[in-house]
Amino acid sequence: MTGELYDPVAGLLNLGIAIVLVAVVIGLLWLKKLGLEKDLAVAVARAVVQLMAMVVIIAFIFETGNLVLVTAMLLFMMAFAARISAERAEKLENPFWVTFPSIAAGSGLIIVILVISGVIPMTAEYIIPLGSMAVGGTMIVCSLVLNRYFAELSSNRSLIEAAMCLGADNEEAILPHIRQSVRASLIPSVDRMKSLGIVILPGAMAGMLIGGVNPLWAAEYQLVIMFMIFSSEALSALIAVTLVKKNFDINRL
Amino acid sequence: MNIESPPLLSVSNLGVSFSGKTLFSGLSFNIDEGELVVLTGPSGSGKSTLLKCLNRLVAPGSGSIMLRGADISSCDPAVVRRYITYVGQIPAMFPGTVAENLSYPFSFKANRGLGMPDFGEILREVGLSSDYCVKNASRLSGGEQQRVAIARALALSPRILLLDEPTASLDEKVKIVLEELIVRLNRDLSMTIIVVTHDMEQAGRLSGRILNIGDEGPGEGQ
Repeated sequence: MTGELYDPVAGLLNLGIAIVLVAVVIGLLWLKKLGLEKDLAVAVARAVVQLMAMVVIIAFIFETGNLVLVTAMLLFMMAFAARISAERAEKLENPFWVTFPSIAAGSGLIIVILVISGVIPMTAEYIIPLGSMAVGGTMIVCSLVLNRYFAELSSNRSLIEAAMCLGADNEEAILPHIRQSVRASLIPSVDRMKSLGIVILPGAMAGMLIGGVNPLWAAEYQLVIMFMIFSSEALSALIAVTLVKKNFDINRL
Repeated sequence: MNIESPPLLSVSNLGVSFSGKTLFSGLSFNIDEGELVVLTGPSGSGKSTLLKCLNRLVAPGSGSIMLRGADISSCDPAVVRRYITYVGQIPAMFPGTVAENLSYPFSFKANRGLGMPDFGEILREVGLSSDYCVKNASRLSGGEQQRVAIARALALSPRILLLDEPTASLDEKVKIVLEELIVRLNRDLSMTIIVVTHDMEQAGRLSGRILNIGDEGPGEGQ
């Protein structure tokens, strides 16, 4: 799609082909008894419904250009991402209150800095798509870091207890495992940056190239996006472990 | 017991419950400096939990624990653990060499003021040569690891050493070596030691004061 007239028949046909392809994959998973087919079918249905509903809302916000609505939209995205990520931290009493501040502060702070400094224009057309990339990235990293944190603590319980018995306070005892959790959660982001341009032509840049934008400008903007997402992700991982470690109790491992 | 100073450790009316089930209650006893106390009792009677209460890994539901007259519940847990050091059933080795395992606790805030002892000498006290300093701790045998765990605790010069079934996962031969080590540490270094065991023959060999926390409640043996 290059900004020419949108043909709804061709659009629905394309979507239909993609859905048939996913249906074939779901069938294969069912045949192989991998137990993923139900989750995947629900995820596909949700993706279609959610994206279509979102398009209607986004089109309205773009139309009004109201920055309060833009902020509300981003906050809604953050809350939704936090709810999904909270499922990875079932061991916490109120996981949402760990994931929401991590995602909101991690992505929100970077978006605000980039908007104030003028790197991102203060318009809905820029803030919503770029913000959603940051929120999406922080959601994944937040889920990864919490998942790894709990796995690290329970598989290293004896080491943590040994450190505490030798005079370590809670934070000192779990510090090596916190570091390991943060490191592991950022591996996909670091690998993505390492392979940028060679293995991966990121979505935004690919879209701009297809849209006929100057490749140098597209690459420059892609780097801004990439660094923004990575900064948000790293910040979010650090906030998540800072919040979650306060609840540490050796007797609850 | 010196009548002018309080006992080294004084436990009064201690009780612990988990999920509404009482593990033990009304437990009271004193331990004097340089004593070797063997804590016995059936499985599930709370022997390990009692040790963990003594170094504040577990908070008791009732009662008090005094170290030289000071209530440990009002002290920094990290500092309490430096004075009352617990060595678990299965020795947990930190990544790295034996020397790194011995020096690691000195990086903790609660231990920063302590001088680092001669690790070769500490290892000799537990029956290992100083050559062990450079060995990878995770590749040692179970008995060697247990001795390194004891050396690691001794390096902090604790007032009381808590040993939770230290020979549970070891074969008979190594078990005897470790029992001799415990007796020697108590006799030669005047180290106050509390050892948990469910093996009454071992309790006899250790020849310390037996403290039983069986079903019928706390009682003194021997």
